[in-house]
Amino acid sequence: MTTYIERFPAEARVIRSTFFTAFIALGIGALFGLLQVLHRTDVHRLVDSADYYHILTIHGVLLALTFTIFFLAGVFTWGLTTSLDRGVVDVRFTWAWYGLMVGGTALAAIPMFGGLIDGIDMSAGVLFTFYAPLQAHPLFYLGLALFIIGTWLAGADWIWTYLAWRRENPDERIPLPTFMVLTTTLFWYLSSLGVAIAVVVFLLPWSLGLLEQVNPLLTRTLFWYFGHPVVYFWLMPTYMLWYVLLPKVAGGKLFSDPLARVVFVLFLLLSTPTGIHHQYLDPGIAEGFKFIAMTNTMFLLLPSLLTAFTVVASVEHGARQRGGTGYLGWLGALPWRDPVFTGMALAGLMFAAAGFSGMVNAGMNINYLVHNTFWIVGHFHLTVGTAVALTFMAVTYWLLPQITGKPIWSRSVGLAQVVTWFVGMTLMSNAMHRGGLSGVPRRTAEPQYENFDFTPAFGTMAELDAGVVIGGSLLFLSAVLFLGNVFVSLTGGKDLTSIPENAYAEALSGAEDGPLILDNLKLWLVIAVLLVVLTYALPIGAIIDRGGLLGPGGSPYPLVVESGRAISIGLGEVVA
Amino acid sequence: MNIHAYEKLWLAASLVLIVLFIGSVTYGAVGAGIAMVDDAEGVIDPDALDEDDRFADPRVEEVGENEYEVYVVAGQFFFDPGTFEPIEVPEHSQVTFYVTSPDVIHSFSIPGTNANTMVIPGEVASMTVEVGDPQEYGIVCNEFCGGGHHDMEGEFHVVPEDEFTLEADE
Amino acid sequence: MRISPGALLVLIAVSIPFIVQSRTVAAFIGLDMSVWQMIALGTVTISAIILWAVWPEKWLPGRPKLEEG
Ligand code: HEM
Ligand SMILES: [Cu+2]
Ligand SMILES: [Cu+2]
Repeated sequence: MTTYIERFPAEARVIRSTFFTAFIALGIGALFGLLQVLHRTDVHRLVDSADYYHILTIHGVLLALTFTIFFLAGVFTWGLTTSLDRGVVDVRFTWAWYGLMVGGTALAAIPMFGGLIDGIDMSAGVLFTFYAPLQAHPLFYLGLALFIIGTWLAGADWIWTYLAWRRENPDERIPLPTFMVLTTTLFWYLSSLGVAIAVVVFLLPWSLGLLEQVNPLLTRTLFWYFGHPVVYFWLMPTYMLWYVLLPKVAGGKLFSDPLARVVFVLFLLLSTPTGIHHQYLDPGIAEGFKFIAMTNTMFLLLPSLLTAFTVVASVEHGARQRGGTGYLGWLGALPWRDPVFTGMALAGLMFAAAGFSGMVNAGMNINYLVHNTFWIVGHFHLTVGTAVALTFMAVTYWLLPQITGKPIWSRSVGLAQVVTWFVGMTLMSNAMHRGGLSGVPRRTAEPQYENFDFTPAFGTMAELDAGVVIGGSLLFLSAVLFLGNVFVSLTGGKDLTSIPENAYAEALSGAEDGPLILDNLKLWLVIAVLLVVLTYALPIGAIIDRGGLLGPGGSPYPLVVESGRAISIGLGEVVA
Repeated sequence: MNIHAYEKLWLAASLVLIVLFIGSVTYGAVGAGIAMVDDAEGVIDPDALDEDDRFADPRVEEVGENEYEVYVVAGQFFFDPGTFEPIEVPEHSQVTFYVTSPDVIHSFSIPGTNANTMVIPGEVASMTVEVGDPQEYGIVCNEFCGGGHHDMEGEFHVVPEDEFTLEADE
Repeated sequence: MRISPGALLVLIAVSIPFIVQSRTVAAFIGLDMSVWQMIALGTVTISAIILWAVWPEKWLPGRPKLEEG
């Protein structure tokens, strides 16, 4: 029996650092989430409504980018080294990408937090989508660019290590976790290119005053070129954990290794050419392009549906190994006391519910009803906020002992924590979905208007507010329980004997059952690039053709406020 | 590769489901005639809206029998018309909104209905709706547009035929 | 106990989304269910689950164990 830290002490240190960075982001993000909930419902307003957007920017960036990506970088490093049974080629390089990611985050954080502090003349209240002409301080864009380059180097590290392994093992199949890391890395290179171009070529020079203006539709399209696929950057590591760890903690084996590979290849191929589905309501983009994005999005359902099957089948196998019987009776035989298992299972369950509301979003026509409403917030708190975040928290209860050598302080608190998250999210997300249906917008400090009231289809707004507040508070409590449990565990002593061996689930139908072509990553990458070119060349060309590369104008906000013009149109007040 | 029989069944069912989804959305978008916001309108210089005869004087205009066009400027943090005076149209008419922005990205959204579009500087969003019986609606901006975003609202009134007058006729 | 305490906890948790959505379903078929009615329904449901779970499997002494599905 060896734990990860015994086998790979140097890598374990890096993974610890990525996890701790992720947890700091989670803590701040959850606190700000609670502030948002209280502010929107007018229960308690700690900051001015104009500053609410700084809070929301920090919540979005820290949770959607920092927490998730730092954590998954650690998970990928674990999965790659474990399955190759080989350390990284040069751990100094591993520290380099970690350092770059931290440096980038810190730089971006300065103006993000600066906006909240009087006397600091820097701000980045542009939310995590930073649509131009809203303008942030240059440090925000610079930090973002460095962070993304850091993730690219992380990918290079994984590929480099894989190639070294390949030289040592010329004839072996790529182990499944490594296969998943590599497909995800290739996909990430392809999809993060969009945001990198938007930031480095347009927004950073523009914020420095080197460019006078940018094309808002173009930078927005480049953002969404990355903005939808980033969802899969969160989901693919989550799926990896469902494939390789969940069956293991359930006591069984993965149903089929080749099908898991098919799923990841499908993600590589289909995830990127879908981003325009976030722009169904944008003027300046032809309906045909929106239609293509819609079709691709629907096909992207396939890998998720296949995953649902394989994961449930693998868990059932585990239950039967543990002595479960009957049509449903086997469910009782699962290790429900184990927060690792239960957390992942509940996360998966919520993801199924999210699939339903996601289909509504993806339908171009129904989307008109819910676009940018609170419904959307309800939806992605089920996906990234639960399927991903809860899986990551649950898996921490398994991985933390592996990388520290210290057992979890309390598994019962862990169980309470994952269940609290599930219940809190049920309440918060339900109220958000319903609010959105009656038109309540997202990203709004005060969704209370002078001229009209929202009327839910049934029940009252007060009730929906209560749902959001109670749910949000439970979620915050859950985050505190999680971080507290991690913290107390870390203060404890090492006890390697009580920690299970570092391993992942074997497959009932192994890699040797799958055709070799599955492992031909170059082929899949070429097809993926072709698909992206096919779906994006025309719309991007059309946007540049219409508005010009640097766009038809619109002045930056808030750095330069040309109040004169706005007043001439008939507005008395310009809020700077 | 050996695929389990149940898995094949599941795969087939998934594909059928996906095709059904695409079919229903296509029907909804094309068949039922809900026009999408698209690239039908040309680009516009957001710094020179006052030189454009639609937006120099944003207004409601009658263009045919029971057909109206509404030109709206959505700026930080107002709709004109909409915020300073309600947009008014007569009941049971067909209304086309043209909305553009002089500054940042906004939205023009009538909560609780599917009248909802992004407003992007440089682009003109057009959207046609059929209005029914008299009713007062709100208008909100649901795309974050700056510190006063939550104050950006307006009113859209569908009024009885006999109470309707165009600004120009007053 | 028919099921483990862990399984019972999860079963209760999972019942909550169904209880919350029962209002949506009720509204869909034209029934008006207030929050309080929903909470009452939830209390009954959860109590029933707990009762079912803790009820001894061999509930009549001497009687053969019911065939479990
Ligand atoms: C304590 C738990 C949490 C609470 C109470 C919470 C609450 C909220 C609320 C109320 C909003 C909407 C604000 C608005 O639109 O005005 C929001 C937005 C958001 N949340 Fe959370 N959240 C939590 C956890 C998370 C987690 C774990 C993630 C992701 C890993 C996440 C990601 C986001 C994102 C990306 C946004 C959108 C930001 C934007 O619109 O720019 N949240 N959250
Ligand atoms: Cu606005
Ligand atoms: Cu706004």
